[in-house]
Amino acid sequence: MKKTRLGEFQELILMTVIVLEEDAYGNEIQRNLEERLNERLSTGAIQTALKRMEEKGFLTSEWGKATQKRGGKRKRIYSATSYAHQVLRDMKEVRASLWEAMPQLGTTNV
Amino acid sequence: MKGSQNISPPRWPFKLLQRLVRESYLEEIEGDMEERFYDNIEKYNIKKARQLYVLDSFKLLRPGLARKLGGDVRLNQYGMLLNHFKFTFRLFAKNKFYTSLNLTGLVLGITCGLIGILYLQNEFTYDLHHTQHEKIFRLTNRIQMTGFDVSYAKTAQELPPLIKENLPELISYVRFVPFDEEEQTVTVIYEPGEGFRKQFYEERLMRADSNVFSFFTHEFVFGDPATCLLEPNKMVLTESMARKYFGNDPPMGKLITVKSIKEENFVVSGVIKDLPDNSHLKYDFLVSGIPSRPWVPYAGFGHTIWNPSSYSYLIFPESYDASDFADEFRPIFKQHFTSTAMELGGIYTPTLEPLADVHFKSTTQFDEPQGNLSFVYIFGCVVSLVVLMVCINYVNLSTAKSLSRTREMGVRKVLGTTRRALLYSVLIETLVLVIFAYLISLLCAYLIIHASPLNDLIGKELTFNFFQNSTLMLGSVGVVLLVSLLSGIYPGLYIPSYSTVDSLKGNIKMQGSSSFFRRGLTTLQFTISLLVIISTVVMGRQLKYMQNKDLGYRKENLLLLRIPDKLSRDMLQTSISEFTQTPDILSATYATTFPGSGSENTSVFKIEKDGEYLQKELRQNFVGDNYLETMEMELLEGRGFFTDSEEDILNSFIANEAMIKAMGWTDSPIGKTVKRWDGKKLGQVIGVVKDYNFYSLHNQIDPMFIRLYKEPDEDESAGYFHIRLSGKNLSETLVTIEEKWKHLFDGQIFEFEFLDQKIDNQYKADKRQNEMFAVLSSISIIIALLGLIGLALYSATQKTKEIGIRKVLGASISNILTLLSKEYLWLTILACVIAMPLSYLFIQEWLNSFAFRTSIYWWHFAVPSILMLVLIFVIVSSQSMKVARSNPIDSLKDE
Repeated sequence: MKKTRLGEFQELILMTVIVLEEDAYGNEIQRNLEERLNERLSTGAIQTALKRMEEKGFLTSEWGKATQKRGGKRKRIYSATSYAHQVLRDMKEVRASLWEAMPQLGTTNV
Repeated sequence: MKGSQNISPPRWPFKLLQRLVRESYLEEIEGDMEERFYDNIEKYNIKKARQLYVLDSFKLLRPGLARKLGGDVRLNQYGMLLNHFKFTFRLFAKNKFYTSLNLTGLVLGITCGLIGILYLQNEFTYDLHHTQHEKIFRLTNRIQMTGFDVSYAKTAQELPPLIKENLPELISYVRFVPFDEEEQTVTVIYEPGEGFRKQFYEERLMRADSNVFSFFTHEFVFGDPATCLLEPNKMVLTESMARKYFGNDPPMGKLITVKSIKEENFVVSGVIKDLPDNSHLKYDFLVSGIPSRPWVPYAGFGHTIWNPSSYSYLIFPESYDASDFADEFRPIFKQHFTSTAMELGGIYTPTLEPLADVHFKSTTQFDEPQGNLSFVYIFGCVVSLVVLMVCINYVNLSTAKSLSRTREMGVRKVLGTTRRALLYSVLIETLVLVIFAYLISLLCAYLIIHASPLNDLIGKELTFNFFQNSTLMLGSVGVVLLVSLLSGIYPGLYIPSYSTVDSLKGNIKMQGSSSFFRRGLTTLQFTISLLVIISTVVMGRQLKYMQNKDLGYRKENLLLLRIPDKLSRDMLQTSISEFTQTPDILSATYATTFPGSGSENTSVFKIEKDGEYLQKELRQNFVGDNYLETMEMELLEGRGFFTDSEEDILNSFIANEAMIKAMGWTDSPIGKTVKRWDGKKLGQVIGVVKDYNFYSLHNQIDPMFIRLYKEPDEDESAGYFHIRLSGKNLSETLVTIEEKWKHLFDGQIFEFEFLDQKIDNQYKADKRQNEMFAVLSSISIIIALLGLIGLALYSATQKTKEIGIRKVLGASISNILTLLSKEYLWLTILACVIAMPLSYLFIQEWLNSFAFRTSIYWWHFAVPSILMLVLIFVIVSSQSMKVARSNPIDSLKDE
């Protein structure tokens, strides 16, 4: 976790990939995330993040099936590496410890 | 829902993506986009889906997804490019000798080019640092009367205010008036307290209008540009002058005394940065207040308005059309000029010169030194020729060397390289070498400009501030590209042109066409060098001629001392007799000006001819006793002055030979009457001296009067002691003179000059041109010889076998040397034949600016040509010697 940092957006995508399992291809990730975040995302942003994480070794990918809706083009299915799982866990712990260390919001002044 | 068949996403955004997005990502992204498009149709409508599609497509254009430079598809060329670089360095490492020859030439040439750019930039940006230069015009004028036609850079100081009154368009005017009308040099004194006094002679001191800094751009170190000259007796000086007088003390508020005919005190109210060296009007001090002149007829010129006194600059709005000025001036002429114009038949033509044009285009006389446009062009041409010679060297050496690379080229072609790739490879070789040479040249140019006497030599203040000077940056990059192309393109086309099979078999010999081309280029090089050398030689002859020419007086061993104050005649006589008591002083006198001072003391006279009077504008010099003797001038007719005769002091004139010619006198000139311009009788001519060159040898000898010095009046300058020395015991004599000076004029500056130096100073510009040519000619010859060394060595090694066979058959070393150098000698002779008439034309043009010219002899051309021939023979034979002396066994044994 020292060297390679995950951006906030990248982290969201990475978790979405894990959640979607077999279904984790570009468009599905985008749809899912758009729903959760309740805002429009651009394909460019999603794709850049995916490629970047693949380069860094958080994701691997393989060709999936083509559908007619895609004009006969194949999907690319992403899956998270064990390294990615490790990093996500580490990040969660750091967050948790930070939450614990924070003074309780709003309680002191009431 | 799957809409109907014809609904599909717009194609063009994807075409764009296809070109820009990395290929391996394309299928996935394209699919995702399409799927999303159909989703969007369901979600919104077709129109909105299309819009989103286009928008998203553009959002895909980001570095993370874009193709890499030289990316997947063009991998082949990209690799090739790297390969070219690798090859280039290997080639340089292999041919160290040729590479260093080329590199030396390139460094010389590019350094020349860089300095040339700086020089030209300096010449062509005169006065452009004034941000409002487009609005500023210098007002000059041409005055014509009978026997008189002069263009003055200065105008009457009263004229600009008159124009302002009559011409509503005029925004404002700025005038610069020399401190004293008669004196160029003034004494500046700083005396803060008893016993501490700094004083120097200064020449660049002017009075100026208080608004000068609103129009002329100057950077202020201290003081306020708007108010510093508003009050009377204020002074603004440059930073270096402030340092000269006050050291590190704060300059503001200091009291300065300026002394000339009058004496005035000034308070320092501002300090400006030193003027850029390329300003046409140069000043170190500006003081406030232009004193008005008496509005009366003025000696020699009629009405004051005709009499030039100030450099005047008019500021017009940018829209002003300067060609209207002549019409608009007419009413002013009518009102103020007509009376004198009627009386003397005078014509007055004012001219507006845009500020930026003053340096080159002004045609006025009695001006600050001007630029010589044709010399600047010639200089630019010669520098370009030198750069061209370097390119020629490169072309010659690399085409010659290409013979040894035919096999390499053959193999490359068999392996599938295209000719274009080979061209690139040769161009890259050139570019790499040129860039390397360029980097060295930048360093060289920097060192030459900042650590060598170059600036003194060319009389400029060039600085090499590469990163602040965009002209230099772009210009030098231009030079690099041009040199690379000129040098690279021919070898690049030529080297790969051998047939593949022949080159692999090693069957290629020097082709006729290429050696013809190479010979042509070599001849061109020799021609250029010879042209520059011959010109340098003749320029040198002219300078020598001017140094040795009999000027009509003896310039050597004549000491000049500025007379410090207005002295009475008696006091002058006392000083003279005091000086002449010194053993090594032969004689002494005084005069208001000396030859080579450039001073113009002119008046309009009416002179008798056949009972009538001709009006002439003539120069005059007022002199003391013994003037003719001290100067060693020759009296042709009549007599010299009788110094104790009151009659002579007031009424006698000595003329020169040129006067006889100009007047057209056929009878004896002695006794001819001379009248003032207004008809008042002055006296008569008593003698005629042999013509003497009072002005530089650029000028013809003009008619001139010598008169005796009267009691000094208000507006005449004091002049100079002229002391003739024997030439022996110089330093002791100078010490004695200084002691006497202290005794006579205690507290005055003792500053002496020698007449011959003053006269030489007139030819500074000519000397400068000669020296610049000398430098360029040595550089051009070095470059030509560098190329020759390479070529000679190469052709000798090419012929190793032939030489071996010839030696076996009994040829001597001298036979072989002749064989090898014959070709170059013929080329040199051809070059001589071309260069001689060209240099003759050029040098005639240059000599035309001199009224007195050295004669050109055939040996001025022959000697440099023969020397060149010998030099070339020596170089070629020394290079061929190694081959010629080698044992034929070594060259023949491998067959």
